[in-house]
Amino acid sequence: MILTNIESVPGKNIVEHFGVVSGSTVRAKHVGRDIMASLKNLVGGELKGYTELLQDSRDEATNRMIAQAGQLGANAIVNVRFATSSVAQGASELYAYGTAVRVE
Amino acid sequence: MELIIFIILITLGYVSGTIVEKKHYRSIENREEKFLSLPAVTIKKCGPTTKKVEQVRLVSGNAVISVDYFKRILAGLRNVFGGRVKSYESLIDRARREAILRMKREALFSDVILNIRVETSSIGQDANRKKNIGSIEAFAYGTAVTYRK
Amino acid sequence: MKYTPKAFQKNVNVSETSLLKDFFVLLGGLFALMVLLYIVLGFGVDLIVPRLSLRAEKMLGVPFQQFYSETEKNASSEKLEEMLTELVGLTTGEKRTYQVSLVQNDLFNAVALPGGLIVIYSGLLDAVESDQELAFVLAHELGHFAHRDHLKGLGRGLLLYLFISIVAGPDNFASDFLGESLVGVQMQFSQRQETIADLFALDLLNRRYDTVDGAVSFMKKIIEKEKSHLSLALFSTHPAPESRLFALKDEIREKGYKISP
Repeated sequence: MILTNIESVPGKNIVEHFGVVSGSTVRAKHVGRDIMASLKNLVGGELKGYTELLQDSRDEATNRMIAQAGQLGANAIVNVRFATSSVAQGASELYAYGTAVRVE
Repeated sequence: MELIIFIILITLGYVSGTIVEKKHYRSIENREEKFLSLPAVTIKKCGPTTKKVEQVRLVSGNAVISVDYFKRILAGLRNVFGGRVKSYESLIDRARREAILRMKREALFSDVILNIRVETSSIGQDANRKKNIGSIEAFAYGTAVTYRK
Repeated sequence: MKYTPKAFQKNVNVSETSLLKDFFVLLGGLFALMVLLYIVLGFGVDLIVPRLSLRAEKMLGVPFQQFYSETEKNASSEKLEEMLTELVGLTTGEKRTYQVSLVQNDLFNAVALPGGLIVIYSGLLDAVESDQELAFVLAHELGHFAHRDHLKGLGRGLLLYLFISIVAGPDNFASDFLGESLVGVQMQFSQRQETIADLFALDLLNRRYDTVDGAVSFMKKIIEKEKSHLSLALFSTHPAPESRLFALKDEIREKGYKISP
């Protein structure tokens, strides 16, 4: 699966498109991480636990989007966008969406 | 006493939440099938370039979906242990699909919706944190293009 | 570029596992966590409390003493003090100073606070009918001091509150739920302490009056009070007075204390 965040796949021709595909996930870290993060809030610095959490979630959202495109028989997703939102305290929501296409 | 109220609320939340969700999903799937012929894409150029454009306009749709008591408790528990918050996944999924469907309904006679974007926000949470009114808003927008026949 | 309309066969964005199963697994996990936490906290407090010197306890008690020292003196508070001195004279073991303070409040309750301070609410004072009953209340609180229950309760409560607010933030659903459940568990444990304090008071009452009528009649009074307002046994500090009365009667029979028919 080819993923791009531009209009097309350079060097290839889009022959068919299937509309929008998307993947999303909501994740939370366990309280131990939350405690560490609130302590880190006092001194500043990178919150490694949360960096990891968001990266994991983003990967999962991307994988879900790819699975959806696979169901449609696409071999590339163009113009992919990521969005983040917090739906609940301590949990983060990742959303990835793009246009499923078949390239040659 | 408090425990009894808690159990009643959680059962009520689970039963009604499940019924409402099933009903909503059925309606979403029905309408998605109806609108299947109208493509919505995230790219800016799509479709035939030879045809003349008759109309171009911005279309949008939004939906606010509320969490039920059971789902909120489940999310609260999940917050302690970490991991995937499954109870909120369906809420967001419903909100987004509903928003996209409403956008498509607005663009009913168009041929394609270009460069769509979807935004999500949670409302009511920061304004009244203690009560924790959880609801999710999805907002979808894009450019609807109609070609001359 | 042509458009091929196709519907998704299945929804990948929603997990397939049952939410109900998830809920019970998590609830079980939470209870396991709570029990573990309680044991660890309780162990810590029990380890520290017996090592706490009387002087350190006095310092802990200073804020309470300041708060309650403003109560006015009157005939009933003087009577309370007299009775307390008498009872303290009968106790065995280490001698320390105690204070009693009468607070104008309709609550039917008495509290043991760090630094040897006993607070009696006037609602309780109005309800007792004899000197023996009053002596039983005071002796019960002395029993708490003898076993240092007042410090244990305070220590646990403080540690719990600290832990919960660090973990989940001050106003969060999880913290409220966790807090309430943990307090419930703690109350259950302090029932045992109540019974032990009762037995301590029974012994003291017997030494002072040679009968223990006051203990039985006061406990019956508590049962009456409990009946008048609904409360779940799990969520109250002095629950199941019936079982306490039962334990008292057992002890009376065993030790052969005198009781008027």
